[in-house]
Amino acid sequence: MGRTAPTLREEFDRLEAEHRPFRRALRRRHQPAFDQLFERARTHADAAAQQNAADPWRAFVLTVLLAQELQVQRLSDDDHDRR
Amino acid sequence: MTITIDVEAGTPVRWVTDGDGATPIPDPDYEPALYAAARNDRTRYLDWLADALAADPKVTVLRTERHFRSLGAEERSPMLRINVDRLGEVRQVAREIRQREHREHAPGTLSLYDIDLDPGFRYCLDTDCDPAPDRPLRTLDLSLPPAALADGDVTKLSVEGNPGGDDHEAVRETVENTLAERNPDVLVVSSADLVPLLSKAGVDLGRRPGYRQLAGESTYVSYGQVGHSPARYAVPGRAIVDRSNSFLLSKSSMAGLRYFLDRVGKPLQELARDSIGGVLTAIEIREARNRDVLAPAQKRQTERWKSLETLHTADRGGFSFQPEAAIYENVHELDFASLYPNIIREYRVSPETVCCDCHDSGDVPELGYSICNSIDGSFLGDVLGPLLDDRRELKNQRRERTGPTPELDAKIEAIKWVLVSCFGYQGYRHAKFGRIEVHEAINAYAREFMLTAKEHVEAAGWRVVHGIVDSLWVRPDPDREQRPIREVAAEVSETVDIALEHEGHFDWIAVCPRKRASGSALMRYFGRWGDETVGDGERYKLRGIEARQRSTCPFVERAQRDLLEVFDRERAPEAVCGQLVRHLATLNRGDVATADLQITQRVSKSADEYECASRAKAALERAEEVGLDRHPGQSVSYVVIDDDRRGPDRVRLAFEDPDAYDPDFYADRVVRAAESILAPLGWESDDIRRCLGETWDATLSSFE
Repeated sequence: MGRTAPTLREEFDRLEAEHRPFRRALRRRHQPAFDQLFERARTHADAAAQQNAADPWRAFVLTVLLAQELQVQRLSDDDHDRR
Repeated sequence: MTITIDVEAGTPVRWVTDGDGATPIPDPDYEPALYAAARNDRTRYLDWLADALAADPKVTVLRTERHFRSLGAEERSPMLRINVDRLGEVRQVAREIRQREHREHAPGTLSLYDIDLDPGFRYCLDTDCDPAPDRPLRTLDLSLPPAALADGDVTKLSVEGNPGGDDHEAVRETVENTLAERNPDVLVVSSADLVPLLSKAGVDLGRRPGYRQLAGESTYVSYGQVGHSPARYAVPGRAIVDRSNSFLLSKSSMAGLRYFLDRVGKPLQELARDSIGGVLTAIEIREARNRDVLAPAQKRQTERWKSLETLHTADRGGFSFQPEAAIYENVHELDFASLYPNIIREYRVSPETVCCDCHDSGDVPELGYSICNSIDGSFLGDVLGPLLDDRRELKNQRRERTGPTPELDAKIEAIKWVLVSCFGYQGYRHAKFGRIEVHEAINAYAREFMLTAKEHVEAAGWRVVHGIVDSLWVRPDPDREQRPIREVAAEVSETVDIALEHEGHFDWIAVCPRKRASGSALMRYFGRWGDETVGDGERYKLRGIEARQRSTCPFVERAQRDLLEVFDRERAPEAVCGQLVRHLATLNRGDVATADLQITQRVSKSADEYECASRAKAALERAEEVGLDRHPGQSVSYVVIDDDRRGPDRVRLAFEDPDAYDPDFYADRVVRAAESILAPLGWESDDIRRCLGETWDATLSSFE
């Protein structure tokens, strides 16, 4: 049959599962932020999949950076509006 | 002219139309043939084989001929043609050749061709016999419920929807009279097991006495799903179409079968039980014969060597956008028309053109595979072309008609399924003319076109809401002006040479989040078509939610559709919860007919193979208790009567017509259906339960 390689979304799910010990050791109040990272990564998994990097970790880092960049822009726009 | 082709003692018998009836015409001179070719075309192996077969009484003629071994072959190869005396002995002869080869030569010395063709189809191919009759086929419908079939009770038989009779004698008379009166060409039966059962009751379904068993029942695994293939029978002079074993009939109707009868040139009885891949393969074998390419017994072309990097780049599917779970207003849907088959035809992606040795033109995006242009057209393009053209023509006809068009719908649907199979078949290792690089190249083109379409719509002032492989959902960007969406679609069509069609306009669509993890589900959404699109069709488009799932019972489906309308009207989760309470109350009062609570499920194992105590296991155990034979791959229908119990008393089978049900179990299903409707608004199951608690405390207790 055709495809055998996992999708990037599945790779991200796998990364998240792999980092469960990390999450477990975090203080409860910090865990949502940890979850948020994976949430952000998934938002751009579609585009990152087209790049098809051999290492899903790279895709993860870049998608999170991109999501944070968008957040920074949004915040600075808000800031600008308030002034 | 021909209605069906029987085989009597190895001789094909053609039943041809004769006024209202049919006449048998035996063809004792016909001899089927198989072919052998040797590795590197060494003729000494063919000489050896000819000597070895000379004394075989099954073999009549041995002759060397030249044919192409594969679609991409540049020259014809010498082949030994082996004529066989009796139709139906080809496989046996082939098996014996394999045994001799294994005894005396290295494996792979010989390649065999034209081995596994269905006998009627082989006869039609070899003799140019047209299996489509010149008058409308007369059909007769015989059906017996599964439970009665299991009991061997023919008194429940219905003949064209009418009861057959109260005892065996009455049934025998009814069937015989109807056969005499209508003289059908085709028997559409609920199960082929009716043939031996009715024979036991003294009824001959054929135009002559007797019947033949073609194959026993079996269980198989295909694409990870367990399937069940029932026993097959033939009767003289009439084609048998087994409803329980005909994919085309289940997805289409006799009109769809009739279409492929003409298109494939394969006798109706064989066509009816073919999988969609089987239908496609038959068309391919015909097209290959036109090119003097024989059908290989096993595919010889293995996957070519490729670097890990290429494999990583190539082994991917289509492109999908990740939508955000939410509700979107004013959305247009754009679809590439039959994207994969059109890529195959327009871009000449075919086993003999992809990765040719003569060009290094890097035609396929991302992968850089070349597509040979020293030949005209392409094999797969010629296979699919007529289907694509017919389908477009039928769709045009449908557009011009008013009112229901069941025949056109059936044909359009039947063609769709066969087109769908073509792409997947290229990656299937047993496909006769498949090639994995074709599969990869099609995907690469599809991704390229999806991104091209995205760039065009965005440049024209639209935002992409969602996109899956060949469909795009777009809405106006509030900060920009838009060019008309149909104009943009036309522009994309021109750029990629494949029509991007405007499927319709939604007043809104709602994208559901994934059930157990974050992010949205790609395939779970629902939306309301705008007035200009909906016409007299369905108001809502639903995908992936409960109402669309096979295993959802009618009550839950209706409740979900009802909640959907409340959702559309009010757009307030509280209002949906209010309506949900009403459905739960109906359930709790015991007011729902159990016929509306039937769950139909395909079982993948037998009862004792299930490790956990699932409802399917309970249903199978119950089936065993009441003497109903269910095999893996078949469906069971049941009503849950007490979900807290284990074993057969957890459920009752649908045909037992139970008078009670487990309200808590079904309440849970309805609440889940409500969750799907409210999830795009950000409501989760806890929110619903809280809301239910406020409106109706009593209901809450049943979910804890």
